[in-house]
Formats: sequence, structure tokens, C-alpha cells
Amino acid sequence: MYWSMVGWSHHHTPLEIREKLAFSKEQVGDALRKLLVEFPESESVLLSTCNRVELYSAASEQHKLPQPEQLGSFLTRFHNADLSDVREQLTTLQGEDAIKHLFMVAASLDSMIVGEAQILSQVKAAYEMACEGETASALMHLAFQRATTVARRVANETEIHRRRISVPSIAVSEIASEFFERFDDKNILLIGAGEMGEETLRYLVEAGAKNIRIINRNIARSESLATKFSAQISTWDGLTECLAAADLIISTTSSPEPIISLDLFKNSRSRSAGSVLILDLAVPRDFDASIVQLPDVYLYTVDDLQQVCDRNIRARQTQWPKAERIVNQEVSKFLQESVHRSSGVTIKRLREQADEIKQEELRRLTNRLKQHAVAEQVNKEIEIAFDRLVNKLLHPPLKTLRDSADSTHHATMLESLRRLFQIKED
Amino acid sequence: MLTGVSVSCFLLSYVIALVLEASRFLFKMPGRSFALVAMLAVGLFAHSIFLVNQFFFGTTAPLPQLSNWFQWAVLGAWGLSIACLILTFRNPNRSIGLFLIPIILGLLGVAQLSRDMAPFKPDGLVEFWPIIHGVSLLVAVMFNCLGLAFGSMYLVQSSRLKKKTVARRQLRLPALEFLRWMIRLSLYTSTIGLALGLISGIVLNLRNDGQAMWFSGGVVFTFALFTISLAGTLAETLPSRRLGGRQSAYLVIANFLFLVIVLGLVLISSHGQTAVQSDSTGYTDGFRRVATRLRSAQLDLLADPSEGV
Repeated sequence: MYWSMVGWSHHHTPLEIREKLAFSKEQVGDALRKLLVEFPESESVLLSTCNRVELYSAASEQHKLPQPEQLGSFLTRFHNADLSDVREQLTTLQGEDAIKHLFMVAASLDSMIVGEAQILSQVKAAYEMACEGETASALMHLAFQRATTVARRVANETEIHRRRISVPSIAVSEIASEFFERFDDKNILLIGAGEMGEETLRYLVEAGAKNIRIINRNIARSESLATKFSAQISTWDGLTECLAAADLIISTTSSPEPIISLDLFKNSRSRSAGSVLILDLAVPRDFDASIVQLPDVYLYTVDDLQQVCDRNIRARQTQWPKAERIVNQEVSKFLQESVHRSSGVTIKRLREQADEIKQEELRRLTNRLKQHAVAEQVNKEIEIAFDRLVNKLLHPPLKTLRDSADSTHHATMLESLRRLFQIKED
Repeated sequence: MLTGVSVSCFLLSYVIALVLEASRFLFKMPGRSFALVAMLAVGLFAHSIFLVNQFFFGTTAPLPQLSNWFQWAVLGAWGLSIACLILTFRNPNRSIGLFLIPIILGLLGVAQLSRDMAPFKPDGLVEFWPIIHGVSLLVAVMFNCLGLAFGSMYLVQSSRLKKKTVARRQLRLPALEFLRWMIRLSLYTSTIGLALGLISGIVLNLRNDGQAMWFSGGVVFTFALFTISLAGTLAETLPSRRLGGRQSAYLVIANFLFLVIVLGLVLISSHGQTAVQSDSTGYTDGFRRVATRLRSAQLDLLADPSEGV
């Protein structure tokens, strides 16, 4: 069994090139159809994400596997580009390296943000599309099935996925959850309606938040967000009242100056006794930094959250060697199994061939012996002797083949065996 | 019933649980939370057996009753260990035991110190007011102890969040909201317990002497403790004067410290006991007993052969 991978990823290819070479879902389907026509004897899976465009190929025999140059050319031609323009950034991997790369990608060890969970579903989706397009069959099934197993092992046996690494998710899962047991009874105020605020609201709603109020100068944007999160809208004039009632404030305006001064905040909270958590996700900041000195007020800025992000990313990276060990184990296990599987077909065919010859000779001999009225017992003894002879003749080459399963010569030996015994595989 | 169970058995379980909690600071250990809950459960089981033996098999009274300071303190520790087990089970990755187990051990220490003190009511009869008095004050003390634990946790958690030091693996604490809620619960419950204890104490004094002994040590101290606790409860309850989270935490800790002083004074007095020699304040005899107890080095819990019931 032979595998290869050609493609471009965030490691060596800038975003401008990746954008040009990326495939939409429809384009993937189209490309797979063309691959089937162009390389009918091999299997293909095309993985296209914002960080990579990779084409995996597999074939049962080496000569059936397309050359990396052909595959690279196919991918660039699809986008009316020239391979020579992007050849420098092209990654080509063969055999074990290609399989290891697939496992690393699926386990999110090759991702831009190590441990991000999305890549596994993208890998699965790519494989499913290939199955639908009938460009993936038994070989790809083995490789992608194992890639999923590897990803699960890495997720379960390491802590690589356990820490969050985006500012909004950290704001909710690691900061807000240290303050609040539940979110369904909390008054949440979103000031401004930036992307970061929207993302944070998404996590809060997932955590159970229900009472959400949005204040934004652009009412249309507020209404759109309010509809999305079943929130209420307040006008900018009602800011003081909203600040007074809030348990959690998220601020994401694009104001160049702080919009909440110490005095404004103090006055608005003068009759509020509860603690308040402020997530100031705006740059520049929306809240005056001195507000943090007020008792029972906890103010977190983007920088504070970014520090947690960085720490979590470092923590994930410490898990990398452990994860790579798992991948290496699985790669060698997978290759061994592949070797056994591919040599298994040849061995079976060899035995069948030997058996056919044995049966033919036995038949001929039995017919002759019938003329001499040989006893049935003698016939049986002759048959046993023929069996033993075939087994003894086949044993040394087959043993050597099995013993060399882990060696690099295995493929050559298998090929020699096929030629020497003129084995024809279906 | 399992008559070999002694204080040492559950004390050891609690100490191991505390060591497991403390080991979070030193190293990672798979299954630590499970081991912690298991040790607490084992300790609580032994503790319960010990109490059953004390209350049902070690007395001639028809119904179980608190007959001395030793039982009172061991029962208080039992209540706290139930709370500790439930909270640890519900929040296995939070270091709640680190704050609660030392208090349980402290109460068991108090129990050991008061082991030789005279019983409350040597006649062994079950009476309504003494039981109300003992149990309500026990509940007040238990919740005061919980207040100390949750108040301390609140201060640590709040200071950490103020400094933006996000929880690390070694010391993870419950959310501020939960801690605040527990502080309130302990404050309200201990106030109710103290109120009942004070009323029942006054009734007991009335019954004993025919007139109220308003200025006896027990009444004065319980009243003072109750007043502070009530003030805190009112401050927590009234929306216009509601305390901040840290203020509440300081309040419950102060309440506990005052409780320790009062309990110390009550323990060295002859409060609740009969047939003991004492001077007009009732303290001299108590001081003498505790001093003797400390001097005679009978605090070795593990080596005490008389613990078995």
C-alpha cells in the first residue's frame, strides 16, 4: 500500500497564496470528480481549510500512485494557476511521512493553534466527501479511520485540548465562571456590539445566560444582535441604569477614549451592593483603569485575558511531545498492519497457486495409481506427503517475508516474490 | 456495634484527606479527588459508628442526648465532616477540604481537651430545653465554623481575582457567588441557632433558680455573640445597607473569632455542668481542669487506650 500527500499549509505558505489555492465545498466535489477521471487507479481525499490545502493519495501498487508533480499540477490547474509560482511552498510527503502528517493534522498537532478542535471535523468531512465522490475506498478508509482514532487518543491521553485559547471563551469559561455559579439569573450588559462582544455573548448563552441587555450607538446592529441572542436593547441614555443593574458587563466599543469614568461608574453603582465583573474587551479600553480599585469590582481587560490565552497555549505546547509519541506509536502500528495486509494478499495467492499445482499433480498420479489398484490408504498417504512438500517448500520464503515486515526491504521482497512465482493479483 | 472504633480511626482518615488536599500544591496525582472523597467517606463512616456507640450504647438514657462537652464537640465535627464530604463530592477539583478539614480537626481537639470534664446532666433524663439549648448552640457553632471556612475562601478567591491571578491547578476554589451564598447561609443559620440557644438558656436558668440569671457568664456571652451575629444578618438582609462580599467575609471570620473566645470561656467555666466545685464565676475549677489536662500530656490521641467504646 502506498500513500502520498501534496499541499500547502500555514507553515510555509502565506495567506495570499492559500486563499488562491483554497477549495470551496462545491469546488472539492468538482475536483474529486476530475481526480477520478485523471487518476482512476488511485484513491484521493482533498482537505481544504483556511490554513491548508492538502491532497492525500493512496494506491495498492507504487506505479498506480500519481507522482507529486502531477498532483501539484492538478491542484494549481484547477485554480488556473501555475505550479512553478508556488512550487517553493509545496510540501510533498510519501509513505510513512504522509501517514504521520495525516495523523498529526487530525490530532490538531499541525494546526496554527495546537489543539484546536475544529480540524478533526474538517478531516472527517473531507473523507466523507471523498467517499461520496467515490474517490476514497479501502485504503483511504484505513488511513482516515486510524487518523480519527489517533486524534481521540491524543485528546483523551493528553491535556492538549483542555485549555481554552480564545479571548471570548476564556472570558466565560475561566474568568466569569470563577465569579458566578450560574448565568441564567444574572443581568448581563453588553456595551458596543463588536465581534468580540458577540462571540462572548455566544459563550454566555451556551452557559445559560438569559437576561442580556445591549447598548450600542448603532441601533440597527443592536437589534440584529438582540434578535440573535433574545436580548433587550437600551438606548445610550440609559447607560447609568444599566450599569447599576448589571452583574456582568462586557464592553467592546471602538471609542478612542474611555467611555466609563470612575465617577460615572461610582455614581451609577452607588446603590448596588453586589459584586460586578467587567470584561473590557475594547482596544483602547472603555473603562477607566482606576475603577478596579473599587471594592467588589473586578475589571479584566483584553491584555489580562490574552495573558491567560498565552499561558494556555504554552500549557498545550508542553503536551506536544506526549502527543507526538502517541502519533509515532500509531504510525508504526498502522504501517505494520498495512504491510501484513498487503503481503497477506500475495501470500494467499501464492498458496492458492501452489495448491492448484498440487491438486493437478495429485489428480494425475491418482488416475495412474487406479490402474494398479492401489489401496485408498496409500492415496491418502500420498496426499499428505504432497501437502507436506508444498508447506516445506513455501515455509522458508514466507517466514522470511513475515520476519522482514518491519524492514525497508519488505516491499522489494514482496515484489520479488510476486515475480519469482509469477503471482498475479486480482 | 464495631466497638473498636475510636476517635483515632476517623481522625486519621481526616488527616489523610487533609494531606491529599495539601498535596495538590506539590504534585499531580491521578485519582486524587476520588481518594479524597473516599477518605472523607471512610472517616465519616467511622465517625458515625463512634457516635452511634456513644449515644445509643454508651448511655442508660432512653433516648440519645448530649451529655458532655466531648460528645458535643465530636457531634459538631461530625456535622462539619458531612458538609465537607458533600461539598467535596460536588466540587471534587476545588480545595474546599483544605479550609474545612482543619476546623473539623480543631473541634476534635476541643473534644479531646474536654474529655475529662464533668457531664452536663448526670441524671440521664431526656428533657426538652437542655436538648434545644445544646443542639441549637451546636448548630450555631457548626455554621459559624462553616462561615470561617467560606469567609476565608472568599477572601483568598476575591483577592486572587482582584489581582487577576486566575485559578491554577493547585488551589481551585468555588465561585465567588457560591462562597457568598454559603457565607450568608452560615450567618443566618448561626444567628437563628444562637437565638434559640439564648432563649433556651434563659429558660433553663429560670427553671433552675426560679428567677432569671441575666448576668451569668453563659447568658452574657451568648447574648453578645447573638447581637453581633444579628447585626451582621441585618446588614446582609437590608438592601439599603447590604454589605460587600469582603465585608461579609470579614464579618463571619470575626464572628468565629469571638465564638472561639466565648467557647474558651464557657469551656473553662462550669457552664452546663452540675456537682462541680467552683468559685463565684465558675472559671477557677475549669481553668484548673484544662491546665491539668494539658500538663498530664494526655493529648496523645493515638495512644489513648480508653477511647474504645
